[in-house]
Amino acid sequence: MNRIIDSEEVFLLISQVLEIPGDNIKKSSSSVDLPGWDSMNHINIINQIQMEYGVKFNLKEMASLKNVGDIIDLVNKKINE
Amino acid sequence: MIELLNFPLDPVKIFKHKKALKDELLLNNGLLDKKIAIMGGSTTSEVKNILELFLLKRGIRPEFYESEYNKYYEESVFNDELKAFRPDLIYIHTSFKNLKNLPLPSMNEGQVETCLAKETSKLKEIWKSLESFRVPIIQNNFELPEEILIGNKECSDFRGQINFVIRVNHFINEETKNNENLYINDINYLSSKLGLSNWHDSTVWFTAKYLCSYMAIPHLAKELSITVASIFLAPKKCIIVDLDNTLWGGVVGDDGLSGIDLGYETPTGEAFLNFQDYLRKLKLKGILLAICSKNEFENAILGLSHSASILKENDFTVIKANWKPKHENIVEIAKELNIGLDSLVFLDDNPVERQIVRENLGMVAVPEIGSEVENYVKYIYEEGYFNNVSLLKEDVARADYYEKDKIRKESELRFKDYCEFLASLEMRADIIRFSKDNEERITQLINKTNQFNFTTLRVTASESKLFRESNDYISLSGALEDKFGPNGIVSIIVGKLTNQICVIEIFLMSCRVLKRELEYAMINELVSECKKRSVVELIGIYRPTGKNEMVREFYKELGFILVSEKDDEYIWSLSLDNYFKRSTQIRINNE
Repeated sequence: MNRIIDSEEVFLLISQVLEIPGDNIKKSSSSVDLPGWDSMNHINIINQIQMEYGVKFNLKEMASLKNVGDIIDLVNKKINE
Repeated sequence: MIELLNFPLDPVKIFKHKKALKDELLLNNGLLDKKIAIMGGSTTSEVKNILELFLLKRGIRPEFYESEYNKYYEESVFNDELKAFRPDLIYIHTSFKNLKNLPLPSMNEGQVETCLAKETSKLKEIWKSLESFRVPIIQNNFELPEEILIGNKECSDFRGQINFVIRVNHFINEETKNNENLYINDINYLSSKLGLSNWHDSTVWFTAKYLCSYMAIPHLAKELSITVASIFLAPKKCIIVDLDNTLWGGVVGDDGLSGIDLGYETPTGEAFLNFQDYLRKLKLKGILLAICSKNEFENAILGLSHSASILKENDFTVIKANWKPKHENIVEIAKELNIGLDSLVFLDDNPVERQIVRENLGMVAVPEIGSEVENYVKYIYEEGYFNNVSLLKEDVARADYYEKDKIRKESELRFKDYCEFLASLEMRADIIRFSKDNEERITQLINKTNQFNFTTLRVTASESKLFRESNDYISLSGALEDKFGPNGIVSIIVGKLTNQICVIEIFLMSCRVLKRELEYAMINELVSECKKRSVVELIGIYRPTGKNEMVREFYKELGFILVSEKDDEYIWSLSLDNYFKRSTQIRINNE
C-alpha cells in the first residue's frame, strides 16, 4: 500500500514560505504564477519540504521540478522508497 | 511559539513558523536596536532571517546590512557602503568554502606555508580595513571539511586540509589576544557538535550556496545570537537550584542522608555528581550559586553535607529552604544579592515548580530541563546564559566578595549611628583616570550596571579607549577597599568637556557598594578635575529606565537645578561656584 502525502499540507507550507494566501495554490502552480517565488524562496520551499517529509532530493530530481505537482509527486515517490 | 527557539531546537518547526515567531517577538518592549552588518562568503538570506528571530528573543532588534553574494572581502576593504550604514557590529560569515589557497598533495612545505600566509594575510587585511569602524567584529572560524583527500594523515601531514584548517584557526585564536574587538563565532565547534555529516550538505551547496545544511542554520543563528547578546547585554549572574532530584536523587527529608542517590555507586548518582561539578566550575568563573528548595532548612544542609557531595553549604551565597512559594523566595534572593530578576536562572526538576516561577516571574530564565539529570547541564550551556566575552579577575572572585559582604552586613546591625558604622569600615578609595590595565573591567562595569546608573549608556571596547585617551573627556574609575577586603573598581564617571561645560555622560556604581557614600566622593573628584580645566558648569543627565529609580533625585540632592524635563530625559545643571565638597567616611588614596 503506497503512502501519499496530503497536497493541502504542501500548499500550506508553500503559502507560509511565500507569505501569500493558500487558496490560490494548485498542483499546476509554479514560480511563473505565484508571487514571491524567486530563487531564494524556491530553495526555501524545496528544503522545507524535504525537512518536513524527511526525504532528500538529488540534484537531477531538483532540476526536473517544474511545478507544485511535480514536487508532490517526487515526495510521494521518495517516501515509498 | 517562542519556546521553539529554546533548546532543544526543532529546525523544521522554526522555518515553518518564521513569520509567526517574528510577529510575536516584535511585540516585546524594551528591544535594543542594533545595526548588524553581515559580510557573506556564501548565501546569507535565511541565516539573516533566522538570526533575526534569535536576536529578538534575546531582546535585540536588528537592522541588517547584507553584503552582495560572497563579497565579504570586497565590501570590507572597499567599505563606503558599509560606512554609510554605520554598523554597531560586523559579522564575517565565512567558511571552509572560502579558503582558496588550500594545500595540495603535490606541494612542498614552502608552498604550503605560502598558502597559509595568503589566507592569514587576507583575514588580517579585512580586519585592518574594518578597524576604523571601532565596532565589535565577529569572525567565523573554519569548520573541518567532510571530504578527505590524503587519508588519515589529513590531520597530521602538512599537506592535509584538516591540518591546514587547524592552523588557520590557531592563527585566528592568537589574533583575538591582540585585538579586543575581534570575537570568534566557533563554527568549528558547532559543526563538530552537530556532526560534520549533518553540517555539510553538498546538495544545498550546489543549489543554494549556503555554508551548511538547512537543519544547521538555526543552530548557527542561535550560537551567533548568544555571542552578540554577550557583547551588548549583561550576562546572567546567578543560578538558583532546587535540591531534591536536582542536586541529588531522592528526597532528603524522606530518604535521609544515606538514602539519597549521590556518588559513584550508581549511574544516576554519578550523573548528579557531574551536574554538581559543572555548577562548581560555573562558580569558579564568577557565577553565584543559590538554593531554593521546599525543605526544612536542616534537611537542606544535611543533604549538602553528604560525603560524596561536591557542592557544600558555603558554595551557596543564599540558601532558601522553607515551604514558601518558590517565586517569593526567588524575589528575596534577588534582593539579597542586589541583582535584577533578569540576572537569574532557575533549575528545578519539577515541571509544576518551573511553571509557577515562569508565570509569576517572567524575567527569570527557567529552562525546561525535564527530570533526567544526565541532561541538566546541556540546558545551561546550550542557552549560553553565562557566556562571557571576557573573563576577568573580578568575575572569578565574585562569590568571595559576596561572602565578605555578608560579614559587612552583619556588622552593620551592631552600630546605632550609620556614620559610626561607615567609619568603622575603614574605607579607602582610589579614584583615578581610566588606565589601560583597567579598561576591560571598566567596560564590563559600564555594560552591566543597571540600578545606580544615570544614563545607562553602554559602550564598546573602542569607546572606553576613547574616553581614556581623549582630552575632551574626564573619565574616572573608583575602586573601593575596606577592612574586609577590596571591592575592585565599582564606580565610573565620564564627563564630556565642551567649552567650559562638563556634561556627565556616564555615572554609575555597582550595587555592591550602595550607601557607602562613594557616589559623593566620585562627584567631589570630578568637580576637582573640572575646576583644574576651568569648567564653570556641570550638567547631569538622568534617563529613567524602570531599573534606576534610586538615582532620580540625586542631582537635586546635590543642589543641581532642573533645566529640562522630557519623559525620557531630565537635564540638571549646577554652577561650580555653588558646589560644596561633601565629606564622606572614605579616605581617598591619591589626595
